[in-house]
Amino acid sequence: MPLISNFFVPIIKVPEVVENLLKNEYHLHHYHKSNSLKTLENYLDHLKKDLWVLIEHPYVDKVYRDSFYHYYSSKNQVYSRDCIKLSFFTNEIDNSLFRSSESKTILQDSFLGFLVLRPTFPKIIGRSVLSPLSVEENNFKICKAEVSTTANGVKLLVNGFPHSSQNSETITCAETTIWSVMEYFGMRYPEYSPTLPSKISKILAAQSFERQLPSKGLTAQQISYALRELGFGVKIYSAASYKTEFLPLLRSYIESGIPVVAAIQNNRGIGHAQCIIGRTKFNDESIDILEQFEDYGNEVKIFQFETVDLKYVFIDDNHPPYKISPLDEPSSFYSLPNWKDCKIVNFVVPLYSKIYLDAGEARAYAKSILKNYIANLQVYKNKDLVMKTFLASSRSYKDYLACNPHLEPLVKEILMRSSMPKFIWISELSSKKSLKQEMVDGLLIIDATQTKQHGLIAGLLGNYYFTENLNEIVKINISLQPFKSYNFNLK
Amino acid sequence: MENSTKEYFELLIKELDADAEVTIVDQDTTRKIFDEIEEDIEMYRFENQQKIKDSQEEMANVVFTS
Repeated sequence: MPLISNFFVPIIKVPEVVENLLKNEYHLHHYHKSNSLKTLENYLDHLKKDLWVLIEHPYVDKVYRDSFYHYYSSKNQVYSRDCIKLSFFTNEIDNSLFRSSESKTILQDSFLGFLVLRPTFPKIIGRSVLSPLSVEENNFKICKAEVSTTANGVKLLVNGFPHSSQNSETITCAETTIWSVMEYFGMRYPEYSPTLPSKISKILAAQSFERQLPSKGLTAQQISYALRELGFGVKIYSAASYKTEFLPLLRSYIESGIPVVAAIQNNRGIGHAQCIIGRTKFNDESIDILEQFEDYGNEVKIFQFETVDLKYVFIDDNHPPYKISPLDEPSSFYSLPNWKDCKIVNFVVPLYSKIYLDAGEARAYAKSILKNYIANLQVYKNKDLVMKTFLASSRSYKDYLACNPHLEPLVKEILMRSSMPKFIWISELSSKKSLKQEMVDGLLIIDATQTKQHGLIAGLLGNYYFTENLNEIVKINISLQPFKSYNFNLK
Repeated sequence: MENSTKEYFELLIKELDADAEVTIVDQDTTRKIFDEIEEDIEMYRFENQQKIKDSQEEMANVVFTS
């Protein structure tokens, strides 16, 4: 029975320890060894330089074992079934702390995630979940799931987004993207389960006329099909059809805390799938320079938050997690010339199956309500407002309302007692000044299950609360001060 | 219907001892707002139909492998 060996070293020493393991445990020749180490060094370069790393071998990884038993074990060449696991910490930790219940909090506070190195040389970067605190550039907000793992036998938690590189045999970029989306939703919501490469392959086999292994990639339509089979109400968008609405829609889904699968392409032969999971934090200047507005009458100018110039956070299986790039240059972090000029041509949104109102309809509906309420009920006059539209679960939203210190008791109670479906669309309205302070001056709450008119659950506009039913519009005068915005979709 | 909604909110205001007045927007204005919103949404849906169809066709052709 093999014993598990472990090493606790500063991050700079990791390649040296891994090199010894590759030589002694995997009997690797020079070519594969140096290329594998190069891949690892490239990944570690993205991380903070003062981290400490626990290296464990052998490690049984669920994702690699799935590929091993379904594919690699059937090959003539011998593949190992064991992986190496790296666990990242903020500081050096004595081995004795891993054997004492009192020190678990110390371990947890220092723990920043893990990375599995699989024996698919040289593409050794396997499953990882890293806290954004482990990377050098982390001024961003993303969709995060809490993932349980072990380090030196001790159960620890990490908050991050699942990542893996492709091995280009059982998983290419397309399958990896499906896997990471499912891993995220499966870890976060009880409605979904994490999946494995063999299951993705099995799902796609049902509508394929070719063999699935070795994988030759997927079309965006196949990605969409797989996600639908895995329980989502999928929406797809193409840049050519949606034109100027395309990126604002994508941004609206990101603000909703939904990881979006983006398909990028250029005319140099690149076709690639990435996951977009968040965005950089905005600063005062990015709000001040907002210029594009729509005149809603009564001298009211409405700016859209989705036009704020922000960079986005990518999970790309050819790079370490949390790469940052503008949406109109999704391959800016690639240095190879054939990756130049890539554009997002399609994106696929894995929505909860009972969200019937998509982002485009919700945005159009919110704009129409606001325009008509301004024109007919004079809710605003001579105002500049920024409108931000996103999805929220009604449970999280009510929790946020209940704890919001700035809402007056009557408004809070009316909203708390309003019946809401599982998901709602929210349009927050803020002056530029309020937005910079993460405050809101007004809002619309829209039923995400209602595809006809009369989906307005509640509106706080000017100094009025509004609600609608099939026959009437109810209006209550309230005193509305700027209140804290909803910031729980991206963390 | 009108009275019961109004009454519900008035009771809540009373329960919370708040100073607020409930009004039901007059029928002409309500009809105008509802009709215009319906028109806007119908127009968006009409334009969106073709976009949905085109998106599906475009997605079938590109393979993502890189």
